[in-house]
Amino acid sequence: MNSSLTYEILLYLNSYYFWMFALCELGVGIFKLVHLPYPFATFITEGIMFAFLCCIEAARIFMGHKGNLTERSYPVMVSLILTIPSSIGVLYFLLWQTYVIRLEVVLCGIQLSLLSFEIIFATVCIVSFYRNRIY
Amino acid sequence: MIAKAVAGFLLLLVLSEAASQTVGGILSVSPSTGSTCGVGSSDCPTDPALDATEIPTEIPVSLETSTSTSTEPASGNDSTTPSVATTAQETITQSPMVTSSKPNKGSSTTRSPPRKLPTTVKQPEGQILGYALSETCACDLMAFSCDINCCCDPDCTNFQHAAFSKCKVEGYPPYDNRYCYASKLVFLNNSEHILEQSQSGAFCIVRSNLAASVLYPSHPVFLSLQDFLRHWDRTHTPVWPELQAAPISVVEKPKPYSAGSPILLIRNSQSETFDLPASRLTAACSVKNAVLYLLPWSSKCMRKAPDGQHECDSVSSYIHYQLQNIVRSPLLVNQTELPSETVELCPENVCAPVTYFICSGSKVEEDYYTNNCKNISSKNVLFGLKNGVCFGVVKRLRLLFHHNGTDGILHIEAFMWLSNISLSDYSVTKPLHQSFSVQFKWARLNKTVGTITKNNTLNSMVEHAPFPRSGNPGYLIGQPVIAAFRVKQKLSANSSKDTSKDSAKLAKHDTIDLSHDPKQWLTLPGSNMNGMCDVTLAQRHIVTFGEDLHMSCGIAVSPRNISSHFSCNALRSRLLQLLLGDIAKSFHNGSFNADWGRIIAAFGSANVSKPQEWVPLLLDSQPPFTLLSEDSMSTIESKISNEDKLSDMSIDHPLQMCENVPLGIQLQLMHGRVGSPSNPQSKIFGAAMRFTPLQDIGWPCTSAACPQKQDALYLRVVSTVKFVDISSPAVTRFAEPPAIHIRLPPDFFYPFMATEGSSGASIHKTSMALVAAFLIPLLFI
Repeated sequence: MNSSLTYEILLYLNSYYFWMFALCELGVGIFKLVHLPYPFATFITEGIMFAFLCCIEAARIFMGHKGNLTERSYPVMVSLILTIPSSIGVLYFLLWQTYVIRLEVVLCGIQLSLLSFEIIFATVCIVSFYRNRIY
Repeated sequence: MIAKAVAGFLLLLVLSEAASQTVGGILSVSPSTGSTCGVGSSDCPTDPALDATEIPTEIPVSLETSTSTSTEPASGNDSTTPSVATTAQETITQSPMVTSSKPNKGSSTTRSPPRKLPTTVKQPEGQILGYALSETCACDLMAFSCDINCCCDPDCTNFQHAAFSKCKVEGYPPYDNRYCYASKLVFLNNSEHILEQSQSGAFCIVRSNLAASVLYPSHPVFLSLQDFLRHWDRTHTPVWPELQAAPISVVEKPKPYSAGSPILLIRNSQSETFDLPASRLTAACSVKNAVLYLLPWSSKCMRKAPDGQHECDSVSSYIHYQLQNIVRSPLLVNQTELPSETVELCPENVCAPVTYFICSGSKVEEDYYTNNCKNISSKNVLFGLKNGVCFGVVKRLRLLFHHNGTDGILHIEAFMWLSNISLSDYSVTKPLHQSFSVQFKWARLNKTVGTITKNNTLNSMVEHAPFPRSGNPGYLIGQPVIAAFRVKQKLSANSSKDTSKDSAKLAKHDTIDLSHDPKQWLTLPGSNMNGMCDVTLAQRHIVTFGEDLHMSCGIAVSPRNISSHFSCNALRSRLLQLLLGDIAKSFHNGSFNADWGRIIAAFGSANVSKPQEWVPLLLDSQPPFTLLSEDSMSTIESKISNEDKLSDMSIDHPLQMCENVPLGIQLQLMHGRVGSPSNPQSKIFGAAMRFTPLQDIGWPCTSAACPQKQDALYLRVVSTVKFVDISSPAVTRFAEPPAIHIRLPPDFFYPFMATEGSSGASIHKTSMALVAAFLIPLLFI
């Protein structure tokens, strides 16, 4: 039994949190489109960025789950690598998008902290899988 | 392991920071290399507020005047060099990341306008607020010279910069409250401050990376007149109307006098407006105010005593001259030929006749018709300077215009208070007080007078004399409270014999005796110049509606006045006289109970024919003394004088004490609004009067050390008035639905009942029964 319960809990939490985050982002996007002057090109860019983030995040969480439950280090590694584009995506919404709303600052902050915890526990997981490798 | 992970996370952060720099650099359109840093104040590199990425704590907006002197102008070289600009930009773009780790975010402070360093370059964050940074230098007004405190002036050297105290601000960001940290320009004591406002709420913009700039679109220059005119028409701006090519010598047709039109006079065969001196802003007679027809007017002003021919004329003969030449009606000016310039006097048919009254030294302005004023011919009065004496200086002038509407002025009554001032001995510094008042009175046409005299008796004529209401119907604030007497009507035999219905009605109620003189209404004792109570009627203060009052005056009581019971009574009577004025006389018969017949008009219109509109002036409590009749007063006085003689001989045992002396009067009135809230009318609901305080006065002394007879005891008589508004909030009331009286025509049941007759009711019942008997079976069919 090498699977990490903490990592599993984090992933479980993150899966729900991220979809909430995505919903909020969508709502905020509509809000900004209505309330603020928005060049169409940047809006498209942000939409693509958002879709990209969603895909990456879904894949990351799925791989993390899979690796943790099957006690395979390879999917966890993939999940760990996918954390990089995912965090860049969140940082984009935190810092570099056209208008940063205070609500987004809060949401992105939580998402980033979740990501960082997952990095730690994913690493712990991988190490433990390698140590007690079953052939 | 964990350390590794942390390190990786940090690496990620660093990476993201690097990314932020690059992305920020990409997104922000780098502005042209202007030399201004902080057009938008809040965007100077050192400003952390806009770069805050933390959740800002809510701190109320506070104003802080920064007293710090401006940052020293940096020793950098010419700001416009591109190399400096790029380096500066780099440092600035890095700054957000540096500051993001700092605390102290989300506060809002005011700073004095940004200090612009000559070498600093506009930073890209200037775009955050969505305005364009100006490339101009508006404070550089003097070309080829260094403008003071204008940091962007290229003519200034660094040496000159050192002399600056601050940098003038170049433009301000437009205030946008959608941002969490909006900055706003405020002026505090005429000095500019930038208020940075932090906003609470999750949907404010913390950060904006959109490089949008708000600019006015420039318009192409018009090169052709057609183009110009077409655009002009588009603006829908009318040009100034062209002057009509009318003959210049158009003179307006003379219109008859109407209310508010200036009164004309003829001077040197030209018409002028009639004006009198008045004061503006100061007490001096600085302006001339045109007297307007039918509008009562008064003025008081002060001027230097005349010290020359011109000054003397302006205060004496000029006014007289003006009065003599007042035009009856403007219509008459053109109809009749004006006299030539040599003729001084205005013809009788054009100018209104003036009756002069010379009044002497009366204090009371109301007493015009008393003996103080004498009708006098103007020829007998000397005006102007003669032998060093200025004759006929007008100190007070009251003009009464008898007019007849548009027919103009019929005649003028001029009441003048004149004095002669000798130029030589009169001190120049002593001022001359002048007061003028103008009043208008409808002239009674002979016809109407005739009809009135035919129909009514002389008494009713008196009733029809103009009566100044205190409001119609409700009281107006500041108008006198109207009081009258309820006279008990005694039904005598001879009066009831020859009466019409009206008089019979009146006999049922009591008649109301209302004086036309406000001094006979509710009055309080006034004081003379020494602060002592003035017994004369003229000096009494009239109680006005809605104005609370507390006034006092002094009264001297000599030991003789409190030496015996009789004299005490006399003193009380004297004080009551003082407190109540003439009213005290009217109930000398001694009955001093609550039903003393004094009533107050509930409404300012004071309708005598409606007794229900009068409320009694309630006496709070029966004073523990009785008033003495005039006869008894005289007897008492004689007794007092007798006693004086006695007391002169035997002064050893004086009374030394008077009990229950009324030393004040207290009036309480309750009023309220009635009617609709759009036009509320004030009504007096009740009034009460009490004599307070009732004091025992005397000398607190033993018989040995009692005061001398000459000493007087000075008492203070206090009279107060208090109004209370007891009106309750207005209530909406709807009209009741109309009661429907359905009545059948009398011949509805014709065949069944007789149409008329005394027994109609019973027949009606039987016929109804018959009808029912027919109809009820019909229902079942």
